[in-house]
Amino acid sequence: MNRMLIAALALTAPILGTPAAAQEFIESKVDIAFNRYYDTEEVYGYLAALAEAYPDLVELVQIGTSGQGRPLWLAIVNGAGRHDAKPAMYIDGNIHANEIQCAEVVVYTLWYLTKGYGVNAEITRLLDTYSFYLVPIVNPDSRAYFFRDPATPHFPRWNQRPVDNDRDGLVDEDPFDDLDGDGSITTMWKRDPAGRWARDPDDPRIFTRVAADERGGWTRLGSEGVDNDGDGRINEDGPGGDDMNRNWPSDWKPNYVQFGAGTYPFNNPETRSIGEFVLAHPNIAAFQSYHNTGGMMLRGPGASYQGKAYPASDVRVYDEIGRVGEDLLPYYRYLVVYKDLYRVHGGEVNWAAEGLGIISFTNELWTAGKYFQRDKNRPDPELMWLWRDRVDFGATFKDYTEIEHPQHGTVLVGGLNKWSSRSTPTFMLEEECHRNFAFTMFHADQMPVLDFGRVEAVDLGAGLWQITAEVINDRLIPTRTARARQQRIGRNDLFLCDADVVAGGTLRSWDDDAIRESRHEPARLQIPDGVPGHGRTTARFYVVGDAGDVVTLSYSAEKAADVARTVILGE
Amino acid sequence: MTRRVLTAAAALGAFGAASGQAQVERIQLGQSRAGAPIDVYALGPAEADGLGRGRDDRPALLVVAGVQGHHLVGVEVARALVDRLGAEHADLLATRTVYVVPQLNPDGAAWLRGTPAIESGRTDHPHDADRDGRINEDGPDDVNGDGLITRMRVAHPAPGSGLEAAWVIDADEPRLLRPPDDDETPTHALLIEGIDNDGDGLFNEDGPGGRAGGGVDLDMHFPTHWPEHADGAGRFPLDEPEARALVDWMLTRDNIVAVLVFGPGDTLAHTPPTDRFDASGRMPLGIEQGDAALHERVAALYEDTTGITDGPEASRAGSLVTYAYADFAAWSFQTPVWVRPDGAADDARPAADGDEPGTAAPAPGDERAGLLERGVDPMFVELLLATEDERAAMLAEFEALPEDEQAQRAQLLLAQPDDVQRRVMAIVQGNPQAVDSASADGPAGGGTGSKADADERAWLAHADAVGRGFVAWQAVEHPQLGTVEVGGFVPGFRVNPPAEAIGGLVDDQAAFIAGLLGLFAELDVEAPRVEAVGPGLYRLSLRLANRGTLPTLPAIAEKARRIPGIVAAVSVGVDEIVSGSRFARVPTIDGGGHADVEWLIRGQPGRAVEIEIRSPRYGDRVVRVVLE
Repeated sequence: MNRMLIAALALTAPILGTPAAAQEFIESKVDIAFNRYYDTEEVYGYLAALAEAYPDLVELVQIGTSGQGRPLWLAIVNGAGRHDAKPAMYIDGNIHANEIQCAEVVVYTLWYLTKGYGVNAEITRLLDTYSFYLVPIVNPDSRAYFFRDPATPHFPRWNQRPVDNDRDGLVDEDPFDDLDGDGSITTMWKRDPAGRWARDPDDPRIFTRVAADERGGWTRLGSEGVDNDGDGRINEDGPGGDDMNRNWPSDWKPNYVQFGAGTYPFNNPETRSIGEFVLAHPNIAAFQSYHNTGGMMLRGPGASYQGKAYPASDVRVYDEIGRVGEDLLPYYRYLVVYKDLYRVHGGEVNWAAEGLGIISFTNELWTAGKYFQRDKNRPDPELMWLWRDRVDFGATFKDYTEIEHPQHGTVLVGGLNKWSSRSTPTFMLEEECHRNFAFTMFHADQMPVLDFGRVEAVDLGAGLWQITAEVINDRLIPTRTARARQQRIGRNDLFLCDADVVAGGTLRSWDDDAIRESRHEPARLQIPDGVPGHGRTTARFYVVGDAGDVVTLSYSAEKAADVARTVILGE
Repeated sequence: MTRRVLTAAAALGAFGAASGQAQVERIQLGQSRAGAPIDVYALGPAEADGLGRGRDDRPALLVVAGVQGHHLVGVEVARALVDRLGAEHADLLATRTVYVVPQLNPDGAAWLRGTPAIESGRTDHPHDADRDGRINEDGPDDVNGDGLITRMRVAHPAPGSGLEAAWVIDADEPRLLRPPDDDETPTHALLIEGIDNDGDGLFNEDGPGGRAGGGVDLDMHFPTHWPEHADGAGRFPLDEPEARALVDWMLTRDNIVAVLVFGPGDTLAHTPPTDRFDASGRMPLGIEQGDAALHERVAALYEDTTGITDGPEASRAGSLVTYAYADFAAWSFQTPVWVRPDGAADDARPAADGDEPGTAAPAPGDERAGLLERGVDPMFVELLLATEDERAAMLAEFEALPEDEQAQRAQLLLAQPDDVQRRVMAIVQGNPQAVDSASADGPAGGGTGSKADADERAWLAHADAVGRGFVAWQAVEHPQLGTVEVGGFVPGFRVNPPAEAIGGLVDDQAAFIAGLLGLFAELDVEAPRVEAVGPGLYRLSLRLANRGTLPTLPAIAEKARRIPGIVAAVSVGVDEIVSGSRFARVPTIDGGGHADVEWLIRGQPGRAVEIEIRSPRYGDRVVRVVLE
């Protein structure tokens, strides 16, 4: 956007803003319509515009380069303080490129956080307390393909790494072909006296399967395409690729066990760049990766035998966030991947949860229950035609046209286009973005926030002091999840005292008499268990000093901001 | 110890000059973390052979050594083979390629070659093993100043020292320690030579060659059955530049038919199991049943040529030999190259693997703490420390579990340190004697009448026979512990033979490799036959024969479907094919067997038809035929 224009808008906003201020709507310095979709370039344009408009809040980092050479952009969003010295939530989308609206939800998150900071007290508090790492497009090459090239609601899901899908020694040699030139891959039908399908005489858009003892007159040939490589098959080796949501280290299995896995974990620059970034930021304490569809908030494990990676106390955290999520997101359900969906090896949030001990969700955006918002099921076919004709005004259906096909002769081509089933209808997109944004903010607001509670220094005489202090976590997520404790992931928390400490240790509770002594380095207590969610950790130091000495106690955790408290002996 | 090291230039000179043309090419795959080059040598004539195949098109054997850096014998033998194979087996190399990566992990070799010498084979990846926020702050130390990190034994450790006595001196062989009998009181603590550098009460808990931590064990770092979270496994598979460079290159070399790893473990003297799979039920932990017979055929060749009949079992979780088989889908073997002359090889893996004999002592309370500290799952700790009756009850309980929970536990077992896996498997297989001895195995451990004790004694006898390899215990003043004794096996002594043994080992491995190349499948395309079936209608048939012993693909490759088998492509349009496929696929052909491909096609008499045979492993070729 034109900088002059931005400046002009900013200057005039207070004057024009009087009536607007009466609304809950918050103005942004960058106008973005959330009733439409944006290709890779456009999304990146908005990232740049937001970073330019809000330089104090947004830092864009190119974490890598895609297989086809596109930048992989990550936005660091942060209010007060250093972004890496406080708990952060990582959010990405569009690892499956056909799951289009995921990118818009992440852009919306960036848009709302930036415009709300300093205007809305809650947003300001969130950005001052936490930081956010946002990757709107994990799979920019295939997103570009989806917009530019003929696609379906389900394709391209993978990245564009060339793969010999039909194992004939050639790569990507027989893709779909857009025979009717509408930008989507739809369906091909051929007249066939003995065909098993009949065309509805009242509505020629509808083909129905006939009974076993009837002949329908039509055969379904499959997706639009020709036999490009002359092997007698159609569309058997199209562009790409790896399923990048099967390309992460935890419980990774090769392609013959987990289709689409890639050649090894992180063989793709897209996943590897994210992996390296996340590993370099141990302050990440919450994780979300958006997908579609089905209206779900999913947690791991992806396979039953990984259940041990979700200890009971972590499951309680997931359950609580999921329970609130079901209220925040109508028509969404809180589910477990392997039980309620399917088995996944090497998934992204599985790695975040099982490999890194981070409380992690995948939201499956959009669900058919939202078409008519009456119940959670997909509307019956008749209602769906009502939707397409009277709500969608035919925008997602391509009427059938006759095409001369090189192998099949005259065929009919048409049907539901690439926008028809998985992407949120554009007029409903903003709500989808906002409610999911709200859910991730609730998730983020469970990241550990520490404070000192009671601190007490007792004069034991002869220059020996007993200092007792508790550190309280006001949030649901512990500084060390049970998974992190179980597998010794990351650094232990540290409870420190800068005085002449001669003995020290932890107490089970404030009223405990005896410490569990740490025989070595009592001034730097290792706390492998951290501070529990909505709980506290209590330590006691025996210190040699004089009345009036200033002693600083501090607590340091990878996934929380450090806190310190000063106590003056004898006061 | 002096070691024979062939430089790349020497290899090029010796081999290249003899034949007058480039017979060996050095390709740099990448760099170690410390900047040392990782090279592969490609052996064989660069120019095309009679079938038009260049060096990278012929079926190839890949030899990789020095995955665990301290296995220097493998490195030296591999380097020598670059020279030897070219000089003596030019005939074999005319139709087959050998790739040699003589040293995958040069940084890991530096620990053993450095001063003091440390028996660690890991990379140089900075790592906070004890999670205290400090990196490598408490590794081993050369307390007695002899340039070697050996062991310390501490008699009656003082209260507050952080050490517990868990061993007694073996009366029959006072240089060895053994676990106390039931009626004995332990007298000694045993630990890696070092001081508590960071004053946290723990000795050598965070540094290379310590009881944990310091770098990555590349042989736990490949993606196959990767033991996530295990000490030494790394942050994620192929994070280390050495391992990743190797795999990235391997994935471009579809002509690799077999992989031979030189490393401390063995998969030849003992055939891997054929009935064990991961929790998905699909990935073999050993080998496929369909590959067992030919694996044993290769093993017989190995024993004939090398005389080696025993060896410690190679580790599976994340190892190169497992990756090369269960994921890369090639024939895959591993040899320790050298074993103790009496044939009964000890477990030769370094202490840094997690076998820390000093603190994982078998006094039950201590052992429990030691195992738990190493991250061993409590379920397995209980099993290992249980009485026989308790074990029986636990096994019965396991048998009664639903299948998926059993699979879950099997997967969990894979994530445990190797010695724990072995011990648990021994219990499961009803051989607890082997189990309990395994707990005592280690550089200076011992046991009463157990196999490990015998092994320790055998190593000691070997050291006595060769007059080196064991540092006699000697009292020294330790800055924190008072008087201690320092001594034990010289680092690397039980892995690497003396320099004079190398020549013979090169002979052995050269003979084995030549024999293995001789077993390779050889794809022979017989002249196509044409039969007129009717006017303008012809039957084309083509026989593809395997003149070798091994099948064109191992069973695992058919399962893994990583790269295509053989494709026969006929140069006519799909609409001219009456029967048959334009791209006919031949998954695999057994040794000595053949596969027939047929087409029924329409065409004018006199028309020339080409059939292109594509084979990533055995080379592409074209045959022509005229319809008549």
